[in-house]
Amino acid sequence: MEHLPVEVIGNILSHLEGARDVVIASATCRKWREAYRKHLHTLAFNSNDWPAYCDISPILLEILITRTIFQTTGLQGLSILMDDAGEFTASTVIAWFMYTRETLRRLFYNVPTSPNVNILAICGRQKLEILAVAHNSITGVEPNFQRFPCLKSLSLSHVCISALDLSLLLTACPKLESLELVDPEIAISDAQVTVELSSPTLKSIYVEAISLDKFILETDSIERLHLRDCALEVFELIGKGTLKYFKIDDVSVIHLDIAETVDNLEVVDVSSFTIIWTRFYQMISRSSKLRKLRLWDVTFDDYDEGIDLETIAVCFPQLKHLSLCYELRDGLMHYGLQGSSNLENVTVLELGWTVINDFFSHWIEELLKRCPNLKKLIIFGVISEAKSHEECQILAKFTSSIVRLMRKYMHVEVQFEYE
Amino acid sequence: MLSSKNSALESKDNEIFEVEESIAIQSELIKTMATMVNSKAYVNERNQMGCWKQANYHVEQNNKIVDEELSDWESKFFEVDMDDLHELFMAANYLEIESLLNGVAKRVADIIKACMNVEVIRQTFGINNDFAAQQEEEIRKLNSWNHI
Repeated sequence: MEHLPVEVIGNILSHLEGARDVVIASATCRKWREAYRKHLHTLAFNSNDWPAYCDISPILLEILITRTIFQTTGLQGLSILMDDAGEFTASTVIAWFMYTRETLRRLFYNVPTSPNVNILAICGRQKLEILAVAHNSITGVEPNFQRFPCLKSLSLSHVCISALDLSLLLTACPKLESLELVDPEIAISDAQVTVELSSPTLKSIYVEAISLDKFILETDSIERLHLRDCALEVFELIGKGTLKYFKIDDVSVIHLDIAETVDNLEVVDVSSFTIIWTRFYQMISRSSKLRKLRLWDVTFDDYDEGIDLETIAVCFPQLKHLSLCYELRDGLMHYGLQGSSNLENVTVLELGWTVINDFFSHWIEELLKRCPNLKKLIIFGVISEAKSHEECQILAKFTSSIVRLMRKYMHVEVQFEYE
Repeated sequence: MLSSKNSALESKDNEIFEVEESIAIQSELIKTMATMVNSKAYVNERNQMGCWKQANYHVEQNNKIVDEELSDWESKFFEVDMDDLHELFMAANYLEIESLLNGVAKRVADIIKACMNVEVIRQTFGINNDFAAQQEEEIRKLNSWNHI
């Protein structure tokens, strides 16, 4: 190791990431110490890295972090992710961000500061590419004075921000590609809680635990959209047909509109959702390039006739992966199996049901017939903790019928997943 | 005969490698040298082979972006002894192949992490402690992670 240039040692120490490991390694010899002081580009103080972090009081932690950061030069990536650390003093936190503002490209920070620090105003903006902030408030966004010319990825978790500031923030980030919004506290100025976001460059959006009356997204470049655990009255996506991946998970939406954007959809993944199939289908019917369709733990409106395979087979000829798990009421199942078109390109089938019985095995059998090129079948079942004798018998019968069934499809790989 | 998409690289021990251009230019050095006539890369054969294998894998994977597979393959690739690791480092540094440099750096960092303390790190890497006693004491005070 003696011949390695000091910059290379700096790169090695940067891959350690954890500040404690870096400091220990830097005490080995002069060159390694110089590497830490002059050529370290990444440093992390993450509570996951060292179990003893939780035994240190916030004040001592502040001293430790300050000492360590202030011995470095030219830091590009700084991560301070201390869960349950209490609070840091505003002046100390400001000192950290001011010290690194000229060179910082990646910042991850999740500790509440007292009094609140307006991180956007303090941290280095010129070179920042990734910013992830949690448990802090963001106020007074000034897109004309505070621009983030290089920011590609923004993540806001448990932050308090107004709907207006959020939308202004996006306009201050001309190159933003990825936005993550988790459990925000949206300060509202009038009775309706509306968030309207617009970004011509955004490619990927993830929103979790948000509750709004209206959520409107206007993005001409969007490729990935994932909503989780949201309660929305109106959700509207305005775009130019660039969306490829659409996932909603445990979301309640009364009025969902993504109609303009579905032409290039490749993946639709819906779980824990109440569907009105005819309406939902109309929304995605133009997605002829669909490769993967997943409808998991979905329930149907009482008057809805449910999913039918014929429609799926005809409208999504390129479908490779189909995942279905919903309550198979007698009428629903028979309706769904009408028609005779095959799902020619489906190679992976995932089927699940909350109750394991004859219906389920019959349904699996029918679906196998419709997928002539199937390679893999995954069966999902839910097993209750207290298994009565009767339940065990039913499970045994089910297993036997699957074994018999799969003898006809020896080339198909079968997997079981029970929970 | 060389196809137009391949470059011929001669190693220090006079072995000639035919490497596809898209892979060869993963090395910043080769990219620059490509404009010069009669240029040679002064790296020994075995490690040059390793370097190109890794660069080739990266170019292939760029089209698939499967991080898990990449790290699986790479962790096996980097399971070599210290001397080889050192050679790979020197080669990657000289040829300026960033993906390889980072791969080796990660591997060395993992080795460091597995060491319990400063002394073990020194032994593993054959490092001499060249601090004066007073310096060492100052450093210990400044970075007292173990004393808190």
